Amino acid sequence: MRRRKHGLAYLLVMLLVVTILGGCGSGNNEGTTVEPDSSSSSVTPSQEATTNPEDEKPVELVFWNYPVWNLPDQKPGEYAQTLIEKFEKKYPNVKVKLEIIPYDGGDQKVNVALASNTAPDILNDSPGRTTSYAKRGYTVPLNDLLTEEQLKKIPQNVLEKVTLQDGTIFSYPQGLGATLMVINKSLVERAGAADVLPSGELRTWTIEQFEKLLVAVREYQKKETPDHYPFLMFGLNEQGDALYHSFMAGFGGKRYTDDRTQSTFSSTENVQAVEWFKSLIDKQLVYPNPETRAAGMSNDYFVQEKTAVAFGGFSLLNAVQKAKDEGAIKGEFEAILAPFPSVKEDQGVVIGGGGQFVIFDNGDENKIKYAKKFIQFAQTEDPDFIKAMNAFDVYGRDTLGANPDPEKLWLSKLVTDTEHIIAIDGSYDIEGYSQTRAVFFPEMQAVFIGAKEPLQAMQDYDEKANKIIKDAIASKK
Amino acid sequence: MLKREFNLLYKERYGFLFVAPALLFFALFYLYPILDAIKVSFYKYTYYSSGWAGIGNYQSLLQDDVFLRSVKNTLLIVIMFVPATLIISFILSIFISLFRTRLQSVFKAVFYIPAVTSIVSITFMWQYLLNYDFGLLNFLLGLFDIDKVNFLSYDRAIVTTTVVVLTISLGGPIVILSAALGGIPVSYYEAAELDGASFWRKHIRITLPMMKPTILFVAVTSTIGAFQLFAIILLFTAGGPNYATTTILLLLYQEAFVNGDYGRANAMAVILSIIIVIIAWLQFKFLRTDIEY
Repeated sequence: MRRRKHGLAYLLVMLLVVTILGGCGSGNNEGTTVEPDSSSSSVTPSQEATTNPEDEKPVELVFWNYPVWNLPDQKPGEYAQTLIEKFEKKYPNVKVKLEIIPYDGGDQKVNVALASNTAPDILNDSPGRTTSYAKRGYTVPLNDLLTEEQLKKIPQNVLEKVTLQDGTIFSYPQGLGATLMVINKSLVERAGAADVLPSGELRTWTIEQFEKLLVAVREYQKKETPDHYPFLMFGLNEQGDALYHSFMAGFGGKRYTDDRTQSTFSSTENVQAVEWFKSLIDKQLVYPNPETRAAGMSNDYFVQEKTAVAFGGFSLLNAVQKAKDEGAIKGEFEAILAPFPSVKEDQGVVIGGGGQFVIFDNGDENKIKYAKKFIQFAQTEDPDFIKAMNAFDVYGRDTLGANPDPEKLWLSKLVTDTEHIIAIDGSYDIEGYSQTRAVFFPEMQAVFIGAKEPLQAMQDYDEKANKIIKDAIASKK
Repeated sequence: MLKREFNLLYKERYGFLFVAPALLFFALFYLYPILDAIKVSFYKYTYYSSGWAGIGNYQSLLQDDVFLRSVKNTLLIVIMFVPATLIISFILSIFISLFRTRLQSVFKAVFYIPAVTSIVSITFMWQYLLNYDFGLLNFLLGLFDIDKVNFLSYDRAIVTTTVVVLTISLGGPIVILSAALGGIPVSYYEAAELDGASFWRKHIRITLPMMKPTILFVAVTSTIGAFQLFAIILLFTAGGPNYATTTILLLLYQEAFVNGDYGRANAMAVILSIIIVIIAWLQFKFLRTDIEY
């Protein structure tokens, strides 16, 4: 009896244990190569023009978006619903179901959905992630949506981001933008460092100039707000790793070999950049303990005037404006944009943007057809779309209006200047790229806490990244 | 021999029919995933392809410094978390039992609130409390002229995370231990009082032995809970700094849903389950004496 009771107790333990294992079971496609049909299921313009009884059939599209897009009076993400309402009015037989997914774990959610055949019909995300889906054949080619004339107008660097090596356009080119630096000009001026602010038509500046700005602001803060620092570096997770990549590019570093199969983070220039990051911590020019700080903290601190420089773009300028309107910012706070500094005086670095929508091939021709209509509708029929994206039109149409915001006007020139501005490549085409991101920040953390020298950390990173890239290439073959 | 078994099956056919739905549910949603997970752990199984890997996934894991670090971190959390949970919840349930029934319910509910609150909200609250620059705890330390503390530094992150998890997890054990405490006959304590036993002596000599089965249950469930810590670590430290808080489950999640390597992820799950079974078996072995269900 006693033994039986113990047996029952063991069984109970096993039941609790199985919940761990249960979560890790594979899908139904076990034992097979996961290669969804990537053949084009596009509809030619002539087919679209023909009235087809199929058009009248009710269609439900699932659209996943991150909390992005908003008009000035809307909350982040709110515009997506506005766009859907306009689209549904034009196509009453179509119902678009919007699901806002969080940034944290968004990519994982999409990957799980793809693996389990529950992916949405439309996804709005950066090519940084969608390239990986397209390479695995999950997306529908969108080449048929673009005319020769449109293709000519799209900046080459944007077109490259949304095109696979075989010429397949997997993401709709839209919203030319950039992530760069945002500076609290008023704070810098109060610190008596107006002379080191980036100037000139493109506001390019040097790394040395940037550091001088930090020193001047820190000296000022020591007297006025000793708990504040001019800049916030972060390294809690891979989010915002482009900050470090941008500075590396400013030092003249390249992250991958020309054939895109080897990581070169341990190059002299990149290691110099990492040594410089560490020196900023040691000199107390940035908030301490970057390894414990998330990227989101950078924006918050900037809006709260706890930093003088941040990593961002229009959305951060809008956040500052909103805080002013709500009375959270009382004093003078003029925010300006600038490219990342570089070792060359006349060269700046930005993180280029452009291309977002992808359509997943869920095997339903009618859904694909209306999904294409949806993204074309957003781009060509709704004038608010580009405004809500806080970006410029890739086709060169004027989206700034008669009285353009001076910062927007400046940025529109910056993003199209390919001579002086390096738009860092997203490395999206690197096999295993998202996995390489996951091993980057622990190495940066090791540098921040002094557990590794910059050279050692970058060499270790290269070793791990190269293994990931090699395995990813091998597993695709 | 087989005939005898069939006869038994036939004789008890109605009984088996009654348990059939539950058995079917167990087989479909528990047994099959377990067996499939074990099978997949012997495959190279990624987003792109799959193929037999033998013990390759296990070999690579046992040579992987990050995985070994995650095992060490997980065991460290268990070693800190389980005894702390048992001791604190045992003491608190004794104190709660001293109050009137209505007040007891209030205390139990208060301690249970974190268990039903969103882990995301709790994590954000703790992030604010522990913020190095402007957090409440550092502000309070500042009032006593004590230097700021980086609670999530390389050396402290795992302890801090365990303490935070502890505050969230005490509700369940307190409710369970309080219920067991209420089941002990008052006459035992009265007899002890007549013999002149002190407050703590009564609880050590009467409460503790009487509650051993419940303590064993709490110990086993807390151990499993500690091994399965995931969301709070993902949000709190993402496993850092420099892998200081990376646990097996966090790594398992990354391996499956970031790297898409389900073979290795399942191998991790199998290893984790083996560790849990061994520890649970040890707990049964050392705590089972005098157990009365």
